[in-house]
Amino acid sequence: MAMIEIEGLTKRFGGVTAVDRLTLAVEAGEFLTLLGPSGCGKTTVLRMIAGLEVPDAGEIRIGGKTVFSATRGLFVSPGKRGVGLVFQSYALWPHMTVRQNVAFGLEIRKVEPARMQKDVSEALAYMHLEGMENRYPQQMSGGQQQRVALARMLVAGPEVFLMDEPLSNLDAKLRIEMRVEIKRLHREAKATTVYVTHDQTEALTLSSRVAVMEEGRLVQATPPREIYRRPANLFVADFIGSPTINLIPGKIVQKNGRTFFEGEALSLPTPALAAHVGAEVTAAVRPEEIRIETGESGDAVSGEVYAVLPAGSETIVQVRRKGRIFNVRVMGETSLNIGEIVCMQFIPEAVIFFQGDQGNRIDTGQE
Amino acid sequence: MNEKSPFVNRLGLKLKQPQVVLGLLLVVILTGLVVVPFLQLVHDTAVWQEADRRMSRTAEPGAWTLFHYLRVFASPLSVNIFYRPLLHSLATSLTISLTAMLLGGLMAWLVVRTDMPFKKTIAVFAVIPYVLPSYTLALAWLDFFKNERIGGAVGICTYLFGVTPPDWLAYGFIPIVITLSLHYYPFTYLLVSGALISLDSNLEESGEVLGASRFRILRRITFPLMLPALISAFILTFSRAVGTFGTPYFLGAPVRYFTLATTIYTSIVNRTPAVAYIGALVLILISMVIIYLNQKVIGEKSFVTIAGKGLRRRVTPLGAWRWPAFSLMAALIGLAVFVPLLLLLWQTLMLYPNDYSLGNLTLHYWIGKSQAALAEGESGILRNAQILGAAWNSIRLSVIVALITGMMGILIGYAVVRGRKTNLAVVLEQGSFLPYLIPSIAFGAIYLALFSKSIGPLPPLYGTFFLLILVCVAKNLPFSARSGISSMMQVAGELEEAGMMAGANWLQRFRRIILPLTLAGSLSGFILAFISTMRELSLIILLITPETRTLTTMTFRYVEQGYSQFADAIILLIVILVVGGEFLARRLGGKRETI
Amino acid sequence: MKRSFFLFLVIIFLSTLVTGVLWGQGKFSKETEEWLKKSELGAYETGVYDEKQLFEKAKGEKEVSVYSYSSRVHQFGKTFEKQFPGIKVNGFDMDSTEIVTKVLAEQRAGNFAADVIFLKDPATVYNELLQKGMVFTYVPPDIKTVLPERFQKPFLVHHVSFDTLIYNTEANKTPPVQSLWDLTKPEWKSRVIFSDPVKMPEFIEVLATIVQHGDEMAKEYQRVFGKPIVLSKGVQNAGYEWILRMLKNDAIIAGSTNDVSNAVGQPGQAKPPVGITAFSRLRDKEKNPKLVFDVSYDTKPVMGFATEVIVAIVNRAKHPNAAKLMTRWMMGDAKGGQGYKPYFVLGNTPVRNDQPAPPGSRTLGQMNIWMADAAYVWDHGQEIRDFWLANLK
Ligand SMILES: Nc1ncnc2c1ncn2[C@@H]1O[C@H](COP(=O)(O)OP(=O)(O)O)[C@@H](O)[C@H]1O
Ligand SMILES: [Mg+2]
Repeated sequence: MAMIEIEGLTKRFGGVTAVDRLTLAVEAGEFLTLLGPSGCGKTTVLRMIAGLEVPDAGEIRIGGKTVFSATRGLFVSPGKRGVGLVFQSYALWPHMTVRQNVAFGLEIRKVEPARMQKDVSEALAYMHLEGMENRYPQQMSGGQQQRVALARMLVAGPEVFLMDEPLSNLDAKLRIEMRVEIKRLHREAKATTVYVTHDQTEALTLSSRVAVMEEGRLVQATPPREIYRRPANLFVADFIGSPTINLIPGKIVQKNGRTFFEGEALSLPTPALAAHVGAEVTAAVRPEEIRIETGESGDAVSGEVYAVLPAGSETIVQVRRKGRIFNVRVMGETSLNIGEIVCMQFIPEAVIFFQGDQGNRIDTGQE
Repeated sequence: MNEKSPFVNRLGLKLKQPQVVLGLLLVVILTGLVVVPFLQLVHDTAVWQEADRRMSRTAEPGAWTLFHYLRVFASPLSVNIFYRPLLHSLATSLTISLTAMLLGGLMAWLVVRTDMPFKKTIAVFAVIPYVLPSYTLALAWLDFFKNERIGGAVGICTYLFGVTPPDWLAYGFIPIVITLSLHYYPFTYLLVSGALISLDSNLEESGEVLGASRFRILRRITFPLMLPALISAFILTFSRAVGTFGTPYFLGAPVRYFTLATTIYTSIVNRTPAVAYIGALVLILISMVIIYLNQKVIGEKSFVTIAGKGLRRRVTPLGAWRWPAFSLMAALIGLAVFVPLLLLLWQTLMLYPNDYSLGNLTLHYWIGKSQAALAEGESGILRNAQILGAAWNSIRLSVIVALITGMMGILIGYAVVRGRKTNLAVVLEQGSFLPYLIPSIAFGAIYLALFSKSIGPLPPLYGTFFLLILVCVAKNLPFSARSGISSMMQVAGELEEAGMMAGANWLQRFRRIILPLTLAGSLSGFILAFISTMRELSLIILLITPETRTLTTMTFRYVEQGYSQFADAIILLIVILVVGGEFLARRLGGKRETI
Repeated sequence: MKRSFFLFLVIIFLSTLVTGVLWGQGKFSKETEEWLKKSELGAYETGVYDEKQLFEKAKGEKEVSVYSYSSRVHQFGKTFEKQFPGIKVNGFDMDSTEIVTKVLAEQRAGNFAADVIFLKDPATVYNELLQKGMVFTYVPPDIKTVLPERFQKPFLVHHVSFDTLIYNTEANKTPPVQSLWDLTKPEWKSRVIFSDPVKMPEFIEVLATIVQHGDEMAKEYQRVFGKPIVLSKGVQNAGYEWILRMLKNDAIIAGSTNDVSNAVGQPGQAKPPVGITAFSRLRDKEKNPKLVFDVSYDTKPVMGFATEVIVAIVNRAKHPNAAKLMTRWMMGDAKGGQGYKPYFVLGNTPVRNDQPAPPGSRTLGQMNIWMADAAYVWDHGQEIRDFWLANLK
């Protein structure tokens, strides 16, 4: 049985449907990330799991216990759901010291003083906060505040961790450091974690599964690799990956008994799509799945180098062909010059196709 | 089958939200404190009252009648009991508001935008007149300008200069306008200086770059930007002035210069309450019209903050005018604060009024033992059980009211801010503003109407201390609600939600998280309620009974009986208590923020 | 036969009327009846005054609350506490109207805070309180013999106070005003100070008395001006006409009787005003020896107007025995007495016929006065108040 089960969850704010009939199960011990552009309803889902927001419809079960059910009029308050939440803003109480912040939940639960003392100290030590017990949150750096927020969540020993973009307020270096910290936390505490972010790298590196949301709906919930490789639809394909995936609209045609994809700027043989002849489709290729060669050759297509964007270990090369820009990822540095004519080589197996109208991926039976 | 309908579920869940429960509760309280009394007042104007039997043999207590309306609006008495007082009310309030705006605006500009010497000192003293009871100046005025007309000793003016001040200078319109303008100008000062501080000089400088003259800039850029603040100040001053009772009574009654507020009082004393209630309705109407006009004229702009980041303030050099400007401001503050207080002090030290010789100085009115030959044998105020009792009442009342109002302010802030823009929150926010529309004396009249009878299981509250608390709490709500809302805005919802996650119930969250975080921000609400209750007269004058006397009503009584020494001594006592109380509160609470 | 039958009918009618009235008076609530019985008041009065016994009972009550129109309540309160140790006096001074309003509210509220009321304006007290059984008259039996009947019914009258004309003795060797009508002459324009009847109901009594004696006022007009009075439009009689003309002459309205005597008596005035105020303000001269004024004893048609100050016990008072004791204390003794002392002053006239007039004062019989008629005041008071209000400038 899954740890968190969500069924048909809906939340409206006035005219806006923030979350739309969302159904999702999170297995025990899993690290699930809710990913999506800002405003797609991630926070709202998290808050509904936590019990801070009352859904309009649907049901939520945590650890087999129903904590919300619209039809049964059931609502378990946040403190009784056995979940811990780290807010995007940390929400540390400014009038309490670090120790008081962490101890608050235990005080409320009337944990005996000696035990509380020990638990709080442990949690602080675990988050490397020794010696800062008596500081106020305002007197600490962002990273330290983040640690306090985590310690505050940990100390109550929740079965489920909920985190809402916990790293978004940190600078890049700290972010990586804290990412490791969170991963360690998850591994050692073995708590089921639901993590919200709009940062795909974070999602892909941390999670055991990524759930992508779009305008309140769940689009795809699969392991990171699959999200990247086999995006459920155009939206996911476009959203995941940086630089973004190359999209080429076109059509499946039959020529000389062979099936081809015919796009404006590209033509590819696609034997696996024989069943789709005549359909409008969009071909999608990850930047790293294109190879660039100088000069023309075989079935490669030519283009003109439009821009070269070095990024340390890799270089993004933009190639223009027939008015369309292709992103190409090249490992290391490159000696290409702008204006140079180059050849792009596509690996047909690496090209994914989406239905032209609905944008769903066309299953080619590969992989 | 036994599943509840979704609607019921929804409602049940809603009712579990503290801001909803609290909001509903507060709306109910507000209804009880403001709406119901108001309806009762309207009702009472249209039915025969017990006391009407004296006026009409056909009076049938409880039955509907237009008698009171006819009496007020269309009888031989109308001119004297309504039209003339109405005219006086409008004339004084308008003149006061304009004069106060001029004084306060000028002072604000000088302090914020010029190189006048001792700006800081002026700024500190600028708001003191507002802290004094509004009629302090009136009593001081009488001590100075009193002529034989009102009897008793003539004022110091006659003694010093040998000339008797004419009636028009001693009583009526002129002194009412002067004393109340000096009392109310801090409103404008505070609002305008606030606006000037947050007005970016860049706006003016960009005008300068375009080659506009300084005067032109003042007129075309600065003034329009100040307009919302000025208009707010006008409204605030006008609605206060029109409902104030003490000053117009002390300075107007000797020459029968009555305003609506004083007419309301005399009508109640004459036991024609319905007439008073109609007067109160008219006052409310005037306030509403003014506020409505305000919104029409400046609309949304009224609370726009012009503040930007890193704003710069430009200082206008006054040149040769530096010292004259300072002298003028110093004189203003001297006249509004120090001269009156000294006059009052002097008066309290005179054994016989009218005798300004040194030999006549005495501490009798402060600490003297009862002497049959003096003031009906009353002992000095610090020995006088009645006055000490009243002082205790005043302190008790002010502290309790400050605590309750401040607390309600925070709760209202909570329900409004957490309720976001739900209908309930909007109703609550606007409802808490209602008492502001009702002038003080009218508010007192309303409470008298409602609470002199038993309501359901509630016994008549007239004559109880509790009623005074109720009325003061209700009247002070708009201000404390405002400061409660703004301080709650500073507290992110997530801070409370973090408490929910920790399993804290509402009370725990409120006590441990919300209260500590809002208290400092709401302090001004507490202090304001304390001060205004401490010096409140108009609001409670109709509701006071012997056991519930406060210092202010004692002053009033002594003025009426012609014992100015006692009256003045009590005023000084009030001033000491107010200043002391404010000081204490600030010490306890920290930062300064007025109005 | 017919005649006697008629007589019979009249007797029946009269007796029903009487019993009706009596019964009507006896028709109090059960609680009130019980309270009356327990307190030996109203129909249950014993007719004997045993101060020792009363004091014993009153001691158990511990305190007594007096609502008084006069601040001197604190003086006789103090002597009372000395005389009857163990009983605390809560004296509250407020205006007469305030007392009525307050008692009405308390009775309605069932909050019986006041025990004794001591105030002016008997007309209002009679109609609004006594008739409704909200207050009761208690005449201590031992002084019944020394009190004229009219000072026992319907109320126990504490003393009679006068309102009269005063003048400045420094500027005038003799009273400058001989007749009330003189006050309407141009020479007294803005120089007559009248106590505000709107605030002090006894001056409504004064005005009502003048109106009631309209005919005499007309005669006096004829005497002063040598021609019959011509009433202004809409004015009913010469009494009203006097009020009107006095107001037209810019009479100054003072907020308290104290203000009037101070204004008139201030030394060093070139053209001092005259004023109508309480006779008892004469004692201001003792307190402030600088004041120079006296009562104008020979004003025509009368030199003053008498109004009554009354004492009553409040319905269901919590301390009825202490209230009785207090009532008795206030009435003083043949020499004046401690309890009565604050009122045994120049300008007040005692009601006990065994008491001498206070030093310097004249007795009732020696003065030419009109006595206020409570019934007339009740019937016409508001009309006169309205007339006054309508004609104020
Ligand atoms: N309390 C609220 N009131 C009104 N609208 C809200 C509220 N909370 C969220 N929304 C709206 O719901 C949608 C989803 O918001 P949110 O869950 O915060 O998105 P995300 O966390 O994915 O950025 C947005 O359109 C947002 O404007
Ligand atoms: Mg979010």
